[in-house]
Amino acid sequence: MPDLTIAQGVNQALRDEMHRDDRIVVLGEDVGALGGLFGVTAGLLEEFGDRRVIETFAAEGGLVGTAVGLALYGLRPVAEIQFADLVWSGFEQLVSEMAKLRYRSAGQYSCPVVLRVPYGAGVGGGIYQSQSPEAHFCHTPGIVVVAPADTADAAGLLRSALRGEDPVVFLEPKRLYREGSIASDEAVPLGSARLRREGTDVTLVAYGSTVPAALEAAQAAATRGIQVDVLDLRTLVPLDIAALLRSITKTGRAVLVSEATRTGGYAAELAATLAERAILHLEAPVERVTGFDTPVPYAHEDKYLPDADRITAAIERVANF
Amino acid sequence: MGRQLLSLLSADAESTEAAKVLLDDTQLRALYETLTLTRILDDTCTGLHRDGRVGFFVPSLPAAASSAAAAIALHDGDWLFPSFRDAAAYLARGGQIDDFLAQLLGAEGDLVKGHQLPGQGSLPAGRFVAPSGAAGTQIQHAAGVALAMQLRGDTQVAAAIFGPSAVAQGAFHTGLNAAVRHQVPAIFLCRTLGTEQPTVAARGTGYGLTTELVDGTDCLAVANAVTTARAQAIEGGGPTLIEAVVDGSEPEQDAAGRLRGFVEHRGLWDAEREEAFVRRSQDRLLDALEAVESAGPVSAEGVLQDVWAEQPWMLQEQAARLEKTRLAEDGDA
Repeated sequence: MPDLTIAQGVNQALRDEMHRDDRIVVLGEDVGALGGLFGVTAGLLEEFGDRRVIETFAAEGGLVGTAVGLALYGLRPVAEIQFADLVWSGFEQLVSEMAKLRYRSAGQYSCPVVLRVPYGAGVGGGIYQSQSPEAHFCHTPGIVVVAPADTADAAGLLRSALRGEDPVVFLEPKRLYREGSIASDEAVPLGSARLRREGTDVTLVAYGSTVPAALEAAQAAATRGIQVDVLDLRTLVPLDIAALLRSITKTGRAVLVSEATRTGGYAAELAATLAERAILHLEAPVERVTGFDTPVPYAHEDKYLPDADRITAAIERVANF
Repeated sequence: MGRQLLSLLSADAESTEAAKVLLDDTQLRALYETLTLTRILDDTCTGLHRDGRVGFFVPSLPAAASSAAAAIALHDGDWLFPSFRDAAAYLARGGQIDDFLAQLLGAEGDLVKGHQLPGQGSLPAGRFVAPSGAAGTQIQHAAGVALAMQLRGDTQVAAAIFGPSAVAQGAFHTGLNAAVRHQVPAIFLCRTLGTEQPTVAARGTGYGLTTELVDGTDCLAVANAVTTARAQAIEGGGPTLIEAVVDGSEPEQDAAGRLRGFVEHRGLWDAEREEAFVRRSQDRLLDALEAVESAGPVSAEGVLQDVWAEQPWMLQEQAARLEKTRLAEDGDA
């Protein structure tokens, strides 16, 4: 298949899956004629009509709650939250309803909603259009949390999300939307990480929007004689624990990358997991490379974001410990 | 406001007849039986709560009249999203006493495995979805299910029942807004307290819904309003907001008692039937209570199930740890 951008790949996966399964409906503000704020739903209204592509108000509580109702009835709603930063007004529906309907009915009802959530900084969006809220979702039992980094994974993970029975928060790395890479029509299983580069000295764990910087850093480290395993998690919950332990057992050194706020973040969960399960293999303290404990600033965004230089420096520290 | 509360049920059965009751005889008998059973269940469960055997119980009265009436006025394929006070609707939608008690007491056999707040079981076959602890979220779910019905071309309706606290929540606004935008087949039934001036129906007018203001202690008035709203929704006429004013201070909280004269007038009920029904219901309740108490509590394994469709490795590990703890407690480890 030709190269597609992530936005095009997600669009193609939606289109294919909507042809495959007539229960799939797309909803959100501007998902119709406009084709979504980032163009991800472009052309779907024309192709599938307004019974499959539904315009809603800009009220995330209403959007998520409507999707919950559609899913309860047996449809497969894909709801677009325009920016991750807007998800908070839908958070009650997400946490108390979407995530818990299966549990509170002990499986009598399920709620297979896919929430597409463009997230992350690096587009000059400032304080309210740049957040990485994944830790909040990961801390809520009942949700699968996905964060792809390229076209094939974005499309493939979305296919799996739409074929599963669980609610999925599908975090789309919006600063990579226009990046082109190899496309594929294969489904990618949820819960499986991808080893993007093999090395023996340091395990570098990244996901979503930070993967390109991680690969760049691994390349830079290689020129200095440090060989790095780059593990792209792809799914945050459930974590591919086997892949993580396999790598750390080999290298004994870990750098964890996440562009989210540091304290209480997903990298902290990874660090705790390594401490519990791999401490006897560790040759150096685990390092986190994350955003600051601040909202995402409009100015100096590049300093907030983990870039290849910061990641490379961390790799060198743990390698030379 | 000056708007009159719609009411039908009067002490004089002929006047009630003249007001045009929309429920048929089968529905009327079901309504009377549900109200009677709810009263018996309420008395028993309130006693269990008083004795400390149940941590949390929300009595059905004075909500039972509107609860049972709405549930019975809906059809089989319709969906109902109840509030916390809708045990009457649970029974009317096919809920069984033994399931209710097993759930209330967290006993083995609880269909929701001890996961949910007591008194709040779901009924998939009855299209009845127990509420969460978040006020008003079900308003949006009813709008969503109704939208799904519309998208699929199914001729059914979705209804939500809620109280005044939900009206202050965002879901009241977003739910009604969405329902009107898509003109979905939904019915929103809000119970308000008679101690305050009714204001909810008037808000519905602002959103562009059809509204009704009814006496919420009058089961026939509520049933008529729901039946009318249902017919409108099915015909594509859009959603309705019904404000059912409930005067909790009235001595006539006994909704069954208020209906009794009318069902007798229709020849659907008499003293003999009453005695047999009450005795049978009480026996069923006692049997169920005994069964539930001898069943013991739900298993601990169950609390780790049904979080995701398949149990992920974290929960498998936690389940293994739980099993180890249990064995240690039993002295087997």
